[in-house]
Amino acid sequence: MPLRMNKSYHDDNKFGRFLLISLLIHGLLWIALAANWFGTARRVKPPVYYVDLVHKPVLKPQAGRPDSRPVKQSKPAPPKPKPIPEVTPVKTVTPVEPKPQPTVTPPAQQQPKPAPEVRPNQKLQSALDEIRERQARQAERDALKAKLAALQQSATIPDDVPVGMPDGSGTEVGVSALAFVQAYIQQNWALSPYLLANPSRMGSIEAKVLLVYAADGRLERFRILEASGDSQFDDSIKKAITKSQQLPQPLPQRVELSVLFNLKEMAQARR
Amino acid sequence: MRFWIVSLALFLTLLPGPVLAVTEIEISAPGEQSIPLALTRLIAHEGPQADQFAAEFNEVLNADLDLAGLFHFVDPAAFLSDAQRLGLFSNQVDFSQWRLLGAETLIKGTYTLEGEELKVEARLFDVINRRLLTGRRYVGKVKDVRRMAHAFADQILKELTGEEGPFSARIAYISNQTDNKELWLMDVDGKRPIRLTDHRSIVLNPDFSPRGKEIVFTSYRAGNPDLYRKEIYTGSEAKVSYQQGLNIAGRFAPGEREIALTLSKDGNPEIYLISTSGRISKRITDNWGIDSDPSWSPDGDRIAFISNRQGNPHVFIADVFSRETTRLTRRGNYNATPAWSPKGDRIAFTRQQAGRFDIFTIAADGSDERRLTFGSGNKEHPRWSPDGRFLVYSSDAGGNRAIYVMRADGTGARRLTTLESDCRHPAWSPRW
Repeated sequence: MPLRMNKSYHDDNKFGRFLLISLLIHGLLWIALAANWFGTARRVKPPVYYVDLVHKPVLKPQAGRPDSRPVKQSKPAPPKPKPIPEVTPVKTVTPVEPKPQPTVTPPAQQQPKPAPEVRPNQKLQSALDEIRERQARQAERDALKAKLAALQQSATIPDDVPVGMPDGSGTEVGVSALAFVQAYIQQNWALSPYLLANPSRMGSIEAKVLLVYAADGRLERFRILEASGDSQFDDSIKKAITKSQQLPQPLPQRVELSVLFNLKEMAQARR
Repeated sequence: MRFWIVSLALFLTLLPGPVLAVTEIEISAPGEQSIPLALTRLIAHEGPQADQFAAEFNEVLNADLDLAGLFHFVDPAAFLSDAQRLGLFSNQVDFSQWRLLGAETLIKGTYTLEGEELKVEARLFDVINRRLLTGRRYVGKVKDVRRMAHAFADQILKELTGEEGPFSARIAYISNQTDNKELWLMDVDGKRPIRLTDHRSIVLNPDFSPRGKEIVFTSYRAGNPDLYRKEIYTGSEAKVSYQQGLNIAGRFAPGEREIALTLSKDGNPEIYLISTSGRISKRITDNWGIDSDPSWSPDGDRIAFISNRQGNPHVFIADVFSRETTRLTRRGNYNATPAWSPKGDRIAFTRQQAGRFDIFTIAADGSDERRLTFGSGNKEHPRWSPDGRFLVYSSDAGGNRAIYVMRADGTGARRLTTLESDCRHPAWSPRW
């Protein structure tokens, strides 16, 4: 009995050892593959092909991407031409030609022509002409509007439009969601160089902040990973984040951003 | 078996969790390099309406803060109803209105006028964090409204930068408004000028004592350029140094016990130290060249001065104790009037280039030389504000020579005095 027990124990121990070794090998392999040995971060420099210096970040940054296919819309009915109001024919009274009276005038001296006498029927005629002219102009305008609407409907984004090219309908700044977030935070960041405690440190001052945005554009949480040591600089960043608590439009997915704030451009410009 | 279950559980807990990719982005400049500020006009709290005082307070504060360069102003035409509301407590301010206008900071205030007495209450708010940053109550006569505004501008700078502004100080300068070059005093914005001397001769080179109660200057009143000392409040005046020859460019030492100046009693202009009673205590330079225009370092250990001992006039630095001199500037053919910054890091001076004087600064170790002024006209006699943020100088760019002020980086230059008279040799007082 003790022998059997010993054997069983022995077998069980052997199996367990094998299981342990197998698990350890698999585990180590998994760790080796899953772990990011060179840091988890991947610095993404959002590509910007065309910089729109006039427009601020757009509301629909994904617009204009060839991969975001425009939803087919049913063709709207062509605009109805406005009914031209019927013009009731007005009886025109043919003016009675005055009989020319032979007058003898000296050829050298011309008398100034007397102002033509406006008669009631002439007034009516001119009003009618004016109405006709207005109607013609309106019809011309309507035709142009219809043409423009038809053109807009027919304009589709071709498949081979590269991201961010002006052929797309989105503003180039907003093509990348990351570029949009970056531009939005930057736009909300206000800092005067005269506020810095030590302006000579401008080139080296920096702070790192972790921002987590939900897919609906809401700031879930933020954490200052590395403070700069300059209270004014850090305070300005906190204000920028407070102002960027809600992005004006949703993101494709939840994002975790490690944002490095510094004044390199400002320092370069001041050199 | 329990051992294996525990091992497995432990192993699973030690496994790395789902790796969330953290994307790094870099923002290398702020979107706005100035703080959006909404500056509302004072509202009458009690007593009669006095819009002219509110307007004057607003104008002075606006000019001071504009010179500081920290802010850009939200257009008052866009202000909503909260601008007309009396509340000065955080819970009485409708911050959402100001946020809507893009303001990050807000100034609100009230005034009470009782006869000749004016009470002003002013507040600075942080719009983003919805809190009060600083507030002050000023009580004075109606004529003090400008001083109140300057004082509040100083307070705002102190709150935001940790260092008080220099707007409550005064600027001394030389003007020939009375056809003689006399010593005058004015506010930092060029207003309220008053004449301090009536020598009916030539007065030059004023300098404030570190506490701001006295001024030293050179006057030809007795025919010789002698050094005088004048108490500002009492008006009493005394001749301090009247050695034969030049007694010029007197500068109070930071400790207020000594004055550095140029004397030519032995024929050659040299830098000396004298006591406030005029007794010579030390000779700093001893060289065949002309040594003049001393300027103390803020710690009082060194003096910057101009010397032509190596050919052209250049800025040199002398150690007050060892009297060793080192050359600071190496460029240009004519450098003059050095002024050591109150922070000690930089020295401003003028240099003649292409027949015209311009203002430069250089680090105290001789590196990082920067030209601050450009354009037509001579810019001379630079002097620092007590906080080192600004430089005041004279320029003839507008025809007659006038006093100008600019930020220490050369931006924001503006004229303080009119062009009707010739004004030069400005000196910024310590905080008043």
